Amino acid sequence: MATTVSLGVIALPVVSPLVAAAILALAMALVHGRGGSDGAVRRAPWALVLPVINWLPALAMVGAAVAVARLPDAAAIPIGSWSLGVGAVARVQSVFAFGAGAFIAALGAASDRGPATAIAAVIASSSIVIGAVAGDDARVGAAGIHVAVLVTAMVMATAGTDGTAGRSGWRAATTYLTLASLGLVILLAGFSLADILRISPGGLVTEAFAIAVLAVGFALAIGLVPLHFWVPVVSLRSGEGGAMLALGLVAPATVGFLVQVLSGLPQLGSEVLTARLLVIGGLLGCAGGAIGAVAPGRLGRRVGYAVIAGLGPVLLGIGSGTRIGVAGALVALAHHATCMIVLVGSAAALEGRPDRQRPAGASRRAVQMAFVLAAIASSGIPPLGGFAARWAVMQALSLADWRLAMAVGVSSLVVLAGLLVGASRWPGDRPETPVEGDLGSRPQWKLSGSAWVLLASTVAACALSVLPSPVLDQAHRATAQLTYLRPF
Amino acid sequence: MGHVRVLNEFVLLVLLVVVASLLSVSVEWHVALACLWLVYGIASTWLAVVATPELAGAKLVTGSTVCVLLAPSLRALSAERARSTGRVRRLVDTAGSTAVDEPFMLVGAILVAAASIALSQAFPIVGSATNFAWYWLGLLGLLLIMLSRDLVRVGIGLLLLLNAVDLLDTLAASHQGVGAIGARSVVTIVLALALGVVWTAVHARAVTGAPPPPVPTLSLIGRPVGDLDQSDQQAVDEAASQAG
Repeated sequence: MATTVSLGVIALPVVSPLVAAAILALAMALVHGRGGSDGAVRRAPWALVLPVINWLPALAMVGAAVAVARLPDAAAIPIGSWSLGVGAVARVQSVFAFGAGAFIAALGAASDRGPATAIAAVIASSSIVIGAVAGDDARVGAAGIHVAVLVTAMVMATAGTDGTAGRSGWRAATTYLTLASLGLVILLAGFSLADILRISPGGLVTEAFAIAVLAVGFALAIGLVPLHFWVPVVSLRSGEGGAMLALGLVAPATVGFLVQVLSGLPQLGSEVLTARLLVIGGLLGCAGGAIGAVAPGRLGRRVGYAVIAGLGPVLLGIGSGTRIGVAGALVALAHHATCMIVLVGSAAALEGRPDRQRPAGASRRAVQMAFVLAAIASSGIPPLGGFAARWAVMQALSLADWRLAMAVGVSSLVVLAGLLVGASRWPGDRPETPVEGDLGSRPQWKLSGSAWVLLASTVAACALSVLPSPVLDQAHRATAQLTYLRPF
Repeated sequence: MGHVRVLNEFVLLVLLVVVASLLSVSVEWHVALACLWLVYGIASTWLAVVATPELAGAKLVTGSTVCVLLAPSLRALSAERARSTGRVRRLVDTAGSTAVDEPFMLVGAILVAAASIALSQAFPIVGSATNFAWYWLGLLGLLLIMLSRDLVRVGIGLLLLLNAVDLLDTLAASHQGVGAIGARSVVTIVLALALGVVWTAVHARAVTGAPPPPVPTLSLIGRPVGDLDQSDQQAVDEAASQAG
C-alpha cells in the first residue's frame, strides 16, 4: 500500500495535466457558451473530452508502473532460466519512461498526422522499461534503449514521405541512427571490457580504459559536448515526433541508464575517475549548451542546445557522489524531459517541420505561450518546477564546490536568454483562417489537439514546485540502494 | 584434435578476411547482400568451433533475418541508382562523388587488416585468433562508418561493428544469459529494419522528384549541419503555403 501511494506521488506530475487540461477546457467552454457562437459551443465538449482521451494511455502506463512497483524490492523472481531483479533505480527509470512516453503519445495522438508517433512512443518507452526491469544485465538495458533509438530513427525517416511537407527527415534519421547506434555499440564493448576487468583484474584491460570506453559510448548516445553532433541536426531537421522521442525520451532515459550502470558496476562507480568525468561532462554540457543556445540561429537549433545544457546539472548531480545529489539529478531529469518535450514540440509547431504544419490563430498563441512558460520553467527560476527539481542538485554541488553551483545557475540564465531571444523572432505568422459565420474581430478560441497537450505539458512542467518534497523523498529512498554513494 | 581446431580457425579467418574485404568494396547489391550473409555465416561457424552450437544457431538465424529485411530496400535503391538520373546517386552519397571510393576502400581494408594483426598481438583481450576476428570486423566497420560516402555502406559498417562487438562480448563474458543473447539479436534485427526504412525513405524521395539538395556530412569537416539549407526552407514554406 505504501509503495502504491509513494508511486502515486511520483506520478502526480504526470497525471496532474489531465486535471489542468480539463479545467482549462471547461473554462473555454464557458467562455464560448457566453459568447453564443454555435460552432464554438459544438466544439466545446470535444475540447473537454480530447485531453481525457489523450491521457488514457498515460493512466494505463502509470497503472503498469504501479504494477511493476509492486514487485518485491531487489527480489529474484525465477521465470524459467531468467532472473528478474527489479531495483529501485529501475523502477524510477520505468516511471520516467512511461511518463515521457505518455506525453509524446498524447501529443502524437492529438496531431492530425496519423498515429505513427503515438505508436512509436509506446514501443520506445516499453522497450526502455523492459530493458530496465528485465534482469541485472546491463546489456539488456542497453538493448532496450538501442531499440528505442532505432524506432525513433524510423519515425524520423518516415516523416514527410507522403510528399505533403518538408522532405529532410531522412537526413536527421541517418545522422541520429548512425551516431546514437555507434554510441550504444561502443557502450556494449565497454560492458565487455568491464566484464574482463572483473574476471581478470590487473590484466591488459585497466579500469581507466573501461571507464573511458563507457564514457565515449554514453557521450555519443546522450549527445554530450563535444560528441553532440546529432542533437542540433535532430532538433532542427527531423519531424516533431522524432525530435521529441530522441530528445525528450531516449536521451534522458540513457542518462537514467547511466545511474543503473553505475549501480550495477560498483567497481567503476566508486572510481574517482568516473566522478571527474561526470563533472567534466556536466560542465562541458552547461557551457557548450549555453553558448550554442545564445548563438544566432533558428529556434529549433537553440532548443537543441538547450537540451544539451539541461543535461549538465543532471550529470553534475550524479557526479557529486552523494545521495541527495543523485536524487536531485533524477528529479531534475524527469523535469528536464517534460520541458524539452514542450520546447521541441512548440518550436517544431512554430517553425514547421516535415510532419508538422504551422498552426494559426489561437492555437499559435497557445503554443507560443507554452514555449515561453516551459523555457522559464526549465531555467530553474523559482517558484516554477525547475527550481524544485534543481534545488537538491544545487545543494549537493554547493557543499562540494560553490563554483559548480554558480556555473549551473549562470548557464541556465544564459540558455533562458537565448531561448527568449529566439522566441522574440517568431517565424512569420500565417493569416487566421476565417471561420464560417464569424462577423467581427473577436479572437477565435479554436485550439488544436496538439496545442492542448502542449499547454497541459507546460502545466506539468510548472507544477512540480507544488509538491517537491515527497517526490524528492522518493528519489532519495531509491538512491539508498546505490552503495557507492556517500550517505547524505 | 587441437591441431584440427587451429586449422579450422585459420581457414575461417582467411574466409572472413576475404568476404569482409569484398563487402567493403562491392557496389553491386547481390554481392553486398551475399557477402553480408557470409560474414554472419562464417561468424556462426566460428562460434560453433570456439563457443556453443546454440550461439552459432542464434547468429545464423539473426544474420539470415537481417539479409531478408535488407534485401527489398537494397534492391530498390540499387535499381534506381542503376537507372540513375543522378538524383539517387546524389541522395545516397552523403558527401560528394564516390568515384574514388572503391580503390580507397580497398587500400583502407588492407591497412585495417595490418592494424588488426598488430592490435591482436599487442592487446590480446580474448583468445589469439578470435582477437583478430573481432578487431578486423570492428575496425572495418568503423572505417566504413567514418569514411564512406554512401548511406548503404554506412549501414553495413554499423552492422559489421555490431557483429564485432557481439563476438567480443560472447567470448569475453563468462556467463551469458538467454536475455542478453536474445537482446543482442533483437537489436541487430531492428537495426536492419531501421536501415531498410531509411533506405526506402531515400528511395521514395528520389521517386517523388524532389530537387536533390546538398547532403550534410557526418564528419566535423565541411559546412555546419545544424542549419536548414535552401531546399529545406523551400519545403517548409511550401508546406506552410499549402496549409494556408
